[in-house]
Amino acid sequence: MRVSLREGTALGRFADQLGREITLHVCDLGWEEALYEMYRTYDPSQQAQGIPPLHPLRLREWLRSVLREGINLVGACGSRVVGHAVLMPDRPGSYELAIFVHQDFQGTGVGGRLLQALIGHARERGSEQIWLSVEAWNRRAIRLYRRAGFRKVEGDQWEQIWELRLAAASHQGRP
Amino acid sequence: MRVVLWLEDTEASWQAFQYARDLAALRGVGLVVVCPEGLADRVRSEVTSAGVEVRASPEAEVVVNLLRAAEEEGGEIVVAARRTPTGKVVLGDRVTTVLLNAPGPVVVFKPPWKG
Repeated sequence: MRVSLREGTALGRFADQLGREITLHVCDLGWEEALYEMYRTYDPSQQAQGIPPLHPLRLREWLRSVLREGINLVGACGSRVVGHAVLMPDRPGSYELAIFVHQDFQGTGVGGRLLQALIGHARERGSEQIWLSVEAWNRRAIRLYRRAGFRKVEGDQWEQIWELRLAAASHQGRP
Repeated sequence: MRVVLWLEDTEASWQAFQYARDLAALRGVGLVVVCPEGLADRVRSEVTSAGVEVRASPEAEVVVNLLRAAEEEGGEIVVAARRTPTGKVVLGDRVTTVLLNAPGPVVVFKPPWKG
């Protein structure tokens, strides 16, 4: 199913490192089908700690739950969703981040732009802290978080917790 | 061969407690609950049926005491995993230690989706 991408909903646009035009959008429940399409063909070996769920019904449940309760951004190439980042509310002022980029668009700068846009969006909404859980061996993801200014605050040999303090980060002048 | 449960004061863990009680009842066996000392009184007040033994443990020795109980009983262990707000399942170092060292099967109880 296709989603019409209205100009007005775009937060920004850029060309990825292969020259494909990507638009960034804040998204809501109306994006469920386009997101479902991205995750339906998402490489299952890149699942992170059980998300996105492998079973189609669980994937639906998960998508509806994050679209209903979270702050969601997508990167789209034409009518195709190629990346998704979500902040789920935790304690007041605090959000947990999850981000997925379709394997056809990994390593082309989409994840970094998506993350940057979501952090900016969260900052405007007054959030103070973003945290995430990542498997210790997921080096690609960890590099992305480090570049966005996240710091490791906890970790064992399996899982790590990374955190971004938004008040402090705004003074660091990161590229 | 009683069922052995590791109980912590988390929502997932209390749901696992319910699951372990049902499992023990289905089998017609008792339940051994291993929990941190600070939680023991509350667990005892929740337990109305006979056949549930509560073993309070110093926080740092919960895993050792859990494994010891499982060795004695020869049965399985029920533990809870945490689900983060985005739905990620976090086992944690201590649950992983239990998985790797348990003498028998381990049931990892994951909280269901809230939505």
